[in-house]
Amino acid sequence: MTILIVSGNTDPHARCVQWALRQHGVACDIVELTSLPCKAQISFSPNATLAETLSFNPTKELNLPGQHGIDLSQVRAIWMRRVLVTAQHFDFSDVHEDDLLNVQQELAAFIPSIWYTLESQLGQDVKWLNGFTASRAAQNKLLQLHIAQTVGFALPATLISNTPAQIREFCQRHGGQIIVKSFKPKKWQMADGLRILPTTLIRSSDLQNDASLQLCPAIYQNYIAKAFELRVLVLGERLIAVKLDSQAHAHSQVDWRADADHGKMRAEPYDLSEEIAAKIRRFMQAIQLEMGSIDLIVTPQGETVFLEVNEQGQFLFLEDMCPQIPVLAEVCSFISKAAGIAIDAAWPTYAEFTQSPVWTELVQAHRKNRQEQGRTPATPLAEIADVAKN
Amino acid sequence: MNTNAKARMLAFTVAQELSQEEIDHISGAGRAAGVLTPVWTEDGEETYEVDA
Repeated sequence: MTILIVSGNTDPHARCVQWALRQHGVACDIVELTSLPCKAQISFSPNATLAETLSFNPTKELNLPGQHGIDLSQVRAIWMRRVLVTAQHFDFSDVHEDDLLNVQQELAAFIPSIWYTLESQLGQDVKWLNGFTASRAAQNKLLQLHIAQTVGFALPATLISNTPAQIREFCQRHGGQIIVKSFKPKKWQMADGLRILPTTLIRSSDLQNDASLQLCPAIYQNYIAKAFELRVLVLGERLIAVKLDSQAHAHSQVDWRADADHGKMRAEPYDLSEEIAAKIRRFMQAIQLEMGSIDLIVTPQGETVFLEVNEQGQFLFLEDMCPQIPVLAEVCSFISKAAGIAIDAAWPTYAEFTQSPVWTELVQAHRKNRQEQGRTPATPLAEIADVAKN
Repeated sequence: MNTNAKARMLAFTVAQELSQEEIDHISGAGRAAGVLTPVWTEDGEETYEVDA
């Protein structure tokens, strides 16, 4: 194996890239840590030979290539696609409830230890995408803003606070409407659905309850008028910029992720100015990331404003929305080059992936899960496949 | 302890409420788009990761 992908269970990005790499004979395995501890076994021995340091054995029911050690002496690149270190991600189905907290704590301590140790142990022999230490730091939104400012980006005015008076004053100073967002994605499972917190526009009238504001610090920023938004996928020196016409429809104006039905928000390739490209490269270098997805606003006055970087942001949707942008090929080329492999032939497309057996397997797993829960088996995944085919 | 008497954090009070139908729609697209990614908890329940 030459390339190792660390990810979660049924991550379509990991499966898609693995499928595409294998089309050209690139040896690539996925370690799906979410199956720990009940559906997989993992062993780590820091003072063994590289060939024997790490083994990961998923059970057969996961339908993964099972029972293998990971010969780290053969690995040239590690794509840290999803490094799931919080308790909720693991499979605790057979853990006694009284042991649960302790098992969770041990895993949450053990898994990061592996990556910190390997990062030190493997050194320059392996290309990390991204480095574990750097990626942990880069998830800090305040650090992102600080570095973005040092490289010359314009930023939204920002206040992180649980001080009600300051929050209200900040809101008033910015015209009585600001946005609120959280450090980590937020969701609440409700009896009849779900609540999520996308970037949300709030007004002074939302800020009247002191207790509500003081309970939890949040990120408040002035609302910046947008002409359009940019999503820039950074792969080393390569920048793939996509213009998102988020302002054409009300539901995507504040947070374009609300446009999940692919059809209302238009996307098209975008040529970055040299100035913005240079700032992005300086930012990535300063924050020590090899890859990432950067979100930018372009204002009606033409100013480019930095919002954030998602060091392992989603990218397949860009090709899904805009098939002329070969995002999958760019990612495969980037990862294979990082592993020292040059592929001259064309990489497959995302649309081709959606017609592959791997895609079918993902769809079936989704359907099966739905049916087992007595829920509507009609899967949006199939709809996406149809969209991609058309 | 009467937890109902406690205030809810602002993020909850302004959060977007999604019906199951909307979740199904967004989570399907979200597998590529990064809005909601279905994950399964230890007891087999499907839940969602909000992603970017």
